[in-house]
Amino acid sequence: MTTKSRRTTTEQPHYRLLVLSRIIAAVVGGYAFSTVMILVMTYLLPLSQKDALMLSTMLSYIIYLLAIIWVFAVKTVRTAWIGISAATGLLGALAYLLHSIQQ
Amino acid sequence: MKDNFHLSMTWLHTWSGLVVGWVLFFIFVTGTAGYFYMEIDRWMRPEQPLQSKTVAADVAVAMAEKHLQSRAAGADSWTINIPGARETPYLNVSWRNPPKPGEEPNQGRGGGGRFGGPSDILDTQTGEVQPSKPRETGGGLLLYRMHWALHYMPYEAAAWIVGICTMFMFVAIITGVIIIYKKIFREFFTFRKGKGARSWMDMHTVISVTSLPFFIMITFSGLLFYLYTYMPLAPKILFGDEGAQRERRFFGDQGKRDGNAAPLFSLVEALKLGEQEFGKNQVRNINVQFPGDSAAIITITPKYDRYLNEYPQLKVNGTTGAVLDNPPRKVSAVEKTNNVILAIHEGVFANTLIRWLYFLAGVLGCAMIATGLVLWTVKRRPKAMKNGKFSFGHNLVERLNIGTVAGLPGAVAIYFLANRLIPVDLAGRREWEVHAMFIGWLLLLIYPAFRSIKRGWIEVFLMTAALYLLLPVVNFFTTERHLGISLLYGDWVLAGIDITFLALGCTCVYIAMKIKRHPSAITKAVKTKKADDDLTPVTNEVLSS
Repeated sequence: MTTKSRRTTTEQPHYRLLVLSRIIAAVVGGYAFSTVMILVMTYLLPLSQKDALMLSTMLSYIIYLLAIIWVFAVKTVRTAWIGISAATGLLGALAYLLHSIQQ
Repeated sequence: MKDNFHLSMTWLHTWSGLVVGWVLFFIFVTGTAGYFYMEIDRWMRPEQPLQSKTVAADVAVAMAEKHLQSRAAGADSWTINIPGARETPYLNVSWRNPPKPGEEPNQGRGGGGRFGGPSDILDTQTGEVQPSKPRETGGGLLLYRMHWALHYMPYEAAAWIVGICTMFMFVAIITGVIIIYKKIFREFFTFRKGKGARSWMDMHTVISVTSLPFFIMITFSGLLFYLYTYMPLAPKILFGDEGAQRERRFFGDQGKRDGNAAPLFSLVEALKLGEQEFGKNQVRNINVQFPGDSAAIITITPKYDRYLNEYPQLKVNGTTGAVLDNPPRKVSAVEKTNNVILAIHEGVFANTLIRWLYFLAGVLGCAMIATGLVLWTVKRRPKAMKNGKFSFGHNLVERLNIGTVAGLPGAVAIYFLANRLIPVDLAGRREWEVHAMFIGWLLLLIYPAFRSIKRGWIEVFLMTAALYLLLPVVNFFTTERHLGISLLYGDWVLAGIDITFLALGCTCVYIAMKIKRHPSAITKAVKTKKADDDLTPVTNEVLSS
């Protein structure tokens, strides 16, 4: 059993490393997730491209916020990383798909 | 992350708030002052005349036109500011002379004054020029500008720092709501005095919840100001390196002279057309391009507070008075929404009462941050004690708190004092006013390192109080715009600022006395009652000497 599968309690060894890991997952991972979400929403929203981009970007801050909260709410650091990476990857793939459809 | 969602959010709230708390305090202080930046501008230029007495718009325009005809008949453009709007405290006329041979033709609408051309302030009763040679100063605008541009660093660097801090604050606010929402009504009416950390928690909660809609709006809208700066990747991916879309505000074509002389259409009539379009007393200024030429164009602009960053204007042929086609920019619903949110942040439409409410909300924001920072230290004082001394980290936070919460307002007072005390003809005095402010802040940050915590708080608050109480006094001895004159004349802007200084000074004295008389407010900690409280059990400590 690795330390990553337990909760991030102060008594654990590598506590600070785990916290740092979560921070990176939240800040960097969340940012990537929000950006990809902007791309997808720009393609999907029934507005002009300029408006869709503006609205998605405005909403992206809320999305970023939710991603950060989620990363710190989940039980393990591993879940946080898997979750944020998978979500970003899936949306990224969707964005790519939508981009190629539009060509 | 922690044992349950609530504790995880508490952790997140604590740290996202603490790490950037001092920068956020600076942003809130400068932003709060910024709601009155135009008024502060006037206070910091005491050579300018007192507020123009009220006069009908058409009378003002007639006076201004007469003056401009005699002073600036050959100018490329005239601008008449009609007194009565917040941005136009005077009947102020300015003009742009034709470029000398070899000079670049002027860009934009070509108003003078602020943009570099000559200008005059006219007495609204007599039409005579009032002397006005203001000292070189950054004024209230520079103080306000620090709210987003900070200082001593490139603009982009500041935008990113402020943006990151804003995002941290967004996390802090929403996690704050998450941890309190179940008890939000009960907590709002709960205030337990004299119970150490519990009291600080109650104060922090009450202050934060009272203005919660404002704080959520302010934080979210703050992020929107740099929409594509903070999230540039999507536009780059979508549009390549043409980059993010930027809205440009066009001030219209520069146009060219005809060279044929033609009498100018009556500006009083042009004003009437403007009032038909925008409403009585809603015209803010009138601009004339190429007065006296047959290609003249008159542009009439309504008061700033009516439109949300969309700047409509009425354009009229300068010789015939025929209304020119000037379709407003098409703005989509999404853009309008963005504009509205930004306008609410800035309070562009706010009248005097609303503006004071904004100021109050800003002060509450500073108090929210301050109580949060103090709460952090109070909760941890017993734990941080090791061998009778605080850990370095804890000590650092305690001292930074004093120097920022009590000291930064004092530094702002130093900015205003510097405005009065630095010699008027000193080169670079504008920058020295700012240096004085930051040097003052640095000293007030260092000072607490040499005092006990309790003494530090009391003394820095008293120093800040003294600085503010001195301001009206220094004003009296150095200018003709002190309370004695402003109250007598009825210039409520100038009087209001001096009175606010007095109020701030008295508030700081009050706070210092409260700390002195009730040491338990900062030093005593209390046992917890409930198991799910996140306060750890603590013992009594006396932390002041």
